[in-house]
Amino acid sequence: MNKQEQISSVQMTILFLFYLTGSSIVIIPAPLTNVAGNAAWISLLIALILGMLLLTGILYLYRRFPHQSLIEYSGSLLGRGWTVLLFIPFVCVMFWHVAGIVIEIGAFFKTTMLKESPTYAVNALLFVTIALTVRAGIEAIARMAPLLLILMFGFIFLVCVLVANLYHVEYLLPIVPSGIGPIFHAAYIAYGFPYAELVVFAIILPCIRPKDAPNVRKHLYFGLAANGATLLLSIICSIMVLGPLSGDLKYSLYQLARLIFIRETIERIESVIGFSLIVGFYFKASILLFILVRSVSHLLKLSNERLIVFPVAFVCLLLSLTTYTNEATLEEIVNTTWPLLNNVAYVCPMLLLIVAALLRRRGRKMNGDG
Amino acid sequence: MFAKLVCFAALAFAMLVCDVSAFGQARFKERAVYGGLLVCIFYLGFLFVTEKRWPNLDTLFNLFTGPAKRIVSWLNPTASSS
Repeated sequence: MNKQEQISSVQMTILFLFYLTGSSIVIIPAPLTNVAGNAAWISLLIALILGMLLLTGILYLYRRFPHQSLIEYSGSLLGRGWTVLLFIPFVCVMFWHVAGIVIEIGAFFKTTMLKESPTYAVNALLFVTIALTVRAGIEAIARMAPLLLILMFGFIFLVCVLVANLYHVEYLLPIVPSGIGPIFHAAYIAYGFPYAELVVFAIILPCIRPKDAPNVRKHLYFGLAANGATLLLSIICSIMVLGPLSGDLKYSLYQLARLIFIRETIERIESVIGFSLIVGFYFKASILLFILVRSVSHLLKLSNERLIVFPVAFVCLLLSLTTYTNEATLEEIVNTTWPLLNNVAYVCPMLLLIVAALLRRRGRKMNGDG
Repeated sequence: MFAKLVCFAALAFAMLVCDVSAFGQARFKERAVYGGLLVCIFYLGFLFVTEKRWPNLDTLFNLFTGPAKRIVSWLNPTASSS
């Protein structure tokens, strides 16, 4: 894990896809269908469009400053003082963001597979794995990702195919059961998780090899579209199988896997699928921890970021065990507070930097004209 | 509580053993940041082991819950009435 590490734009897209899809594929269908009912897919499309706008924003900044991270070019655009002021909340929220993913994995394990195991044992083992992965560096993470991505996406599609005999297309109607308000509410949830979170990727975009830089734009848009299509598929499949219950049952994809029953030969395969879904959580947490360590290192101008991987991971582990320990408060932060928090801590600094970059460009043009 | 204490101590010990050589070669700035993180670890570790409800990051985040609820009820007026 050092500054010279570089990956291709395809590898970056795979990490991006993992980051966006990893935990949301398991978690997002339930709250969206709970709020918007059959219109959940419309909400997802609205959130996806907002996500596209945010991606356009980070790609604009990447085009202007291809060799610097969000924090580094903030220093040159706004000065050191403003950068520290803007990025302290950014880093604080990211500390909890990593913890939040592991809280979700812990909750998933607790409700589905490891019901008797204490949460701290599950979370601690996960954090040890995640921290070791981050210590190995982004090149190792990127090399490991394609196989696990195929595994995760393969199982998602397999579940959707194997429950095909339970589909009831009529469950998709009426399309807008409770008016436009719940659609916007669900779009707000999906915007906060996962789309507004993509802003943090601006920290690691400079890891792309310079010769691959021209391709990154189309690759990342493709990644975002693939994520949207997968989430859409999982929402529509859950509605078609579970109907009105899809909003009440958490971890929709896992619930679908439980229903697979083909001639007494293929049944009870939810644990196998559950573990492939855990891979998504693990990858998202690893990528985010890597971004967090890099952010701390850039903010404090550290020369050896490897040294702080374990303590940063340990802080995140303890946050996962001491904050939002009951399910109701966790649900409230994910569905209500998180989108706002995301906007304040992640999106606002990015928008401010875009404005500053545009103003500087305009100033230079005017000086050139003058 | 004892199991939690053992878990915390084992992880802290493993981390310090892994980092001791790199810490020795690090510059002052890295050591200071590492020290700062250790302070956070011990505070949060204390909260974890004793299950005290002392100020934490969620205390700060909960300040946003009120405004976030207002945004939700503005987007979806039926959410607040249901």
